Amino acid sequence: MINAGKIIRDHVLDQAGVTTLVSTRVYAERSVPVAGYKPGDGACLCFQIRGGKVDLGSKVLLPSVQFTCWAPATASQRAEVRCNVLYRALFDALESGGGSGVLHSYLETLGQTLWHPESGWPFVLCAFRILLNNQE
Amino acid sequence: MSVKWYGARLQKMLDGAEDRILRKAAMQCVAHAKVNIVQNDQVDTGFMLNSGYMATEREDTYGQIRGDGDKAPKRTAGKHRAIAAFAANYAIYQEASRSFLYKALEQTAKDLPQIIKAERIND
Repeated sequence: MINAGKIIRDHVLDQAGVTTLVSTRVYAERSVPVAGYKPGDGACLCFQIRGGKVDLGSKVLLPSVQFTCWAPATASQRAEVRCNVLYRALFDALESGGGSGVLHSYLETLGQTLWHPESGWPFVLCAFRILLNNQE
Repeated sequence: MSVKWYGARLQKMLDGAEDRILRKAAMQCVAHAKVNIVQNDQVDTGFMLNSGYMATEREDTYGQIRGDGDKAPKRTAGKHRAIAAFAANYAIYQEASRSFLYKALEQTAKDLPQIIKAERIND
């Protein structure tokens, strides 16, 4: 079986509209940023596979992938607004998209702005269905 | 040869069956989700566990939720729709950290043929 997390991360890192905002801060199999992260470090994306299925005799994986988008405030925009900027960039990159190992992707659950109960940091929660080629 | 088309009657039967199937599926989904919450070790006070409810166009179990926690407003379902939800206002964070409800939805999808089959037998 392919390493779905790595393929998704590599695919996201290929999206210039996203990496302009997050650089390489794309964290796989997490719902919150890595320990030690602070919004001042810059925007980041976390994702984890929350479910899905295999299809075509296991030649295709169809995971549902949950993303959380985190970003710091700027001089002119609140942090929750910046989180939504990142969410929209992610949407533009993944909606009806494809690439190496990624056959197709589309938004499954619209983004929702939330505040992390422990840190108080805002983030946007959303989910995409990402169809992956499972033939190595 | 003549054919009598009982379209309206058939549609009424299908409508009723569809609603009953959706109702059962929503209840099954809440049941799966509760098991998942326990298996995920997401129980602290038990409020979230007990805040699961289902809703259809005609009925819901929101009023049966007991506990002192803060509840999100009741979600309402439109025609030929059913909702499985958890009212605890922090449930979305638990779902985001470790899915219990999306997983339950997938489990219920697998149960659907059996739910539909049982409904057909009852008709």
